[in-house]
Amino acid sequence: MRLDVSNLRSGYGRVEVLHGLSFSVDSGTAVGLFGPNGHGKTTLLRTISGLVPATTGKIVFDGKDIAGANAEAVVDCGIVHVAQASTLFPRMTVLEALTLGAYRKAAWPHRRTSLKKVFSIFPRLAERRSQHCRTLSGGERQMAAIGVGLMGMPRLLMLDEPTLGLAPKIRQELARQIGLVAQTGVSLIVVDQDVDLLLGLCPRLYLIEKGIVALDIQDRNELKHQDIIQRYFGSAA
Amino acid sequence: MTGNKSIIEVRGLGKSFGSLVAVDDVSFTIGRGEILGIAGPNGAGKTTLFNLISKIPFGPDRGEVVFDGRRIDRSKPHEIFRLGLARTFQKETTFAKLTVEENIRLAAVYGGALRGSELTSAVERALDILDFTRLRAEPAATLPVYETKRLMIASATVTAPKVLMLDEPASGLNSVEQADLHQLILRLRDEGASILLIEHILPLLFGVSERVMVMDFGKKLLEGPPSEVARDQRVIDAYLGGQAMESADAP
Amino acid sequence: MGSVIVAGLVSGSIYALIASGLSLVWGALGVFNFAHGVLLMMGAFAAWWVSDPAGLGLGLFAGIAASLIFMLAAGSILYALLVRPWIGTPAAELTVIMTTIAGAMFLENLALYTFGARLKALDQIVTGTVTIAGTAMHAQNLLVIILAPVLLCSLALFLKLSKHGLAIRAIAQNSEAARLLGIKVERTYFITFGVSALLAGIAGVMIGGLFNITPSMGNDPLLRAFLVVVFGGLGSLPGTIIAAYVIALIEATSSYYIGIYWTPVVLFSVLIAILLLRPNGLLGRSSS
Repeated sequence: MRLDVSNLRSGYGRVEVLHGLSFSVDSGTAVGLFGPNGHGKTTLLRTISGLVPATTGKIVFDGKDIAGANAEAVVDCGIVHVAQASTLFPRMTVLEALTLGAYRKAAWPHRRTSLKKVFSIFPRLAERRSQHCRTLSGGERQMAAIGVGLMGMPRLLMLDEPTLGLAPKIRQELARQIGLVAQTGVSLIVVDQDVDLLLGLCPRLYLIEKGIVALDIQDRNELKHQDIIQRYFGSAA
Repeated sequence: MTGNKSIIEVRGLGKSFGSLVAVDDVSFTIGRGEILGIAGPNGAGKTTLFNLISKIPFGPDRGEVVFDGRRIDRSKPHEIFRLGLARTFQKETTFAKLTVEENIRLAAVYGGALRGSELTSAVERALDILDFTRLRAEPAATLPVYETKRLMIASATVTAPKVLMLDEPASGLNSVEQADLHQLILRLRDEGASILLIEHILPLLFGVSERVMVMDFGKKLLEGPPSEVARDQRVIDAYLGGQAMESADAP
Repeated sequence: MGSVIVAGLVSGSIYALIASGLSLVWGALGVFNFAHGVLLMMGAFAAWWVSDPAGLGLGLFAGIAASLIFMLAAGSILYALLVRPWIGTPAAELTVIMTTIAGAMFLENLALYTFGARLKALDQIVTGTVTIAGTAMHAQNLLVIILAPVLLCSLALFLKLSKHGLAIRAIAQNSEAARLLGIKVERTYFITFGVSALLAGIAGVMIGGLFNITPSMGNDPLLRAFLVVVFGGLGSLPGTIIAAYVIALIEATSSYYIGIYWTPVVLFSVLIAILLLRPNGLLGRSSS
């Protein structure tokens, strides 16, 4: 379940956003991506998941190059991308959306077990299982989106700003749960503005700036949060 | 008691959707020039509270809202805005194809009914306070997250409202941007607005608010100075989790 | 009075079948299929040609079976030629309106050329008359009144409970999120269109058994279906079904008591009044 991205270029129309980005995720580990807004973190996830076509470069997952594969094929490999601030499916109930999360062939037979797991992580979702997605508050929708992602039994889970809009207690609980997911051997990519969260969760961090990796932090003990903020955000302010 | 020290008085506000009680008998006041933080778990009814006060997209089932001495819970949304109560939203509400300046101008013309020299000076003032003079001709669609949020605030404040309600402005911002937003909120208060702030980012919430009101399950749980609220066991259990202490103390 | 209700229920059933097909395609693919009426007509002609002695003469049930299979094939070809090339392009909605109108004109004239304009009819599935609650009706009418709701309920259950039904609804509500779940969007479009064509064909067979078969038989029903879909609320299947029966009953009542001449006036007046009160249709929602 190792992911190796090399020299990836992609963008929207004539605007290139990723300018030859390379990074990797060791099998069964968690990697954190942070950096200024608008510099390619979300585009990177969308290129890996197949929503945005790669212009050049390689995306090798578990030995297979999936650059250029369409979204459905990427999901079938076990890569699940939980998009940022997703509106989910407004007119479906939470239960229906979660069930649909197990759509991919490998996950569908296990959907009942997966559902129990998701409800134990997010009891609030169990309470709201018969409500339509559009009636959920922003934070509840966020939890539901992550729940839907987990239902796909991912081998690589990519979370785009999972704590966006979540209350502090839930944020801590979510961080804990993501940590548990990481421990089950699922490879993880987490994009977030909360660098503390990433430091607590991921042994390896990448700073993404201007469409490439500006810094590869291989041992999180080597840099403290304050140093990172000072050195790499101070200049952007 | 006419309470002319408070700019907004909310009494017994309530709203239900069928059997779901979203806001349950909420009462509070906010004084002139005060910054009131509103916190609470996801789904506690905070945004619904803003909806009820501004009547966008709906008003309350029960209760009253008194703004600057007059009742507004029966008024129309645009009347409420003209009276001087503005709000921002959690999702992006800018007009993508218009420039920054055009967005702000739109709010001033249609929301505030400003014209002529009054209009021009209001727009220039907003561009200045919100730090947009350099970006004024940029299309809103090209703005990164923080600039988009600033634009939404600029559109809301161009008419110099007496009360500004901000709904989770700091979500998605990095720590440098959060610090900048903190200063921006203080600047807006100094320009004469009272501010209601819904926020989950604790350093900002506890750092900028003079008082914090916590909601849970549609009800007001408690209200008080940040340090008190942060130490309250009920708040820790329902909302803060373990992070409580450090965040309240950090400036 | 009883016969008015029967007439209303029969028309309502047929309208509901036709409009549901349109509504499905609109919801999932975001396009409006103006060739839906000729699909109905092709279903009727296919059944006729296989069953009638003037064609293959294989009998009614072979005719219906052949028609259903033919509808799936015809729907697929229509989708591939007239719809798929433009899905996802910026002006998809408008372009597909044009291509499907063009296709409809072509196929209608092809049918005219192949079969001639003389009226034809399908044998009835069940013959004779039945009396219920003091009202006499053709047995075929009763069949339609019972069969259509059964089919529509099955459709609703399919959408609500089955994996593919959920997928169709997902694409209609958030196509990007659907893709990120591994839903094969292309294939789902295809299935949706196929189901829609099948519904049109069934409606065609029903009309063929009750009324006449002509190359232009699909035009009026399509117009009615359009009304139903708008009136019931775009994208809402329950709204569409309710609207179908409401419109049909208004038509039947008005035709009987006021006369066929004035019926369109009555119908449209009612629709305009309701749209003034509820601009998004009975159960529709504002576009998001």
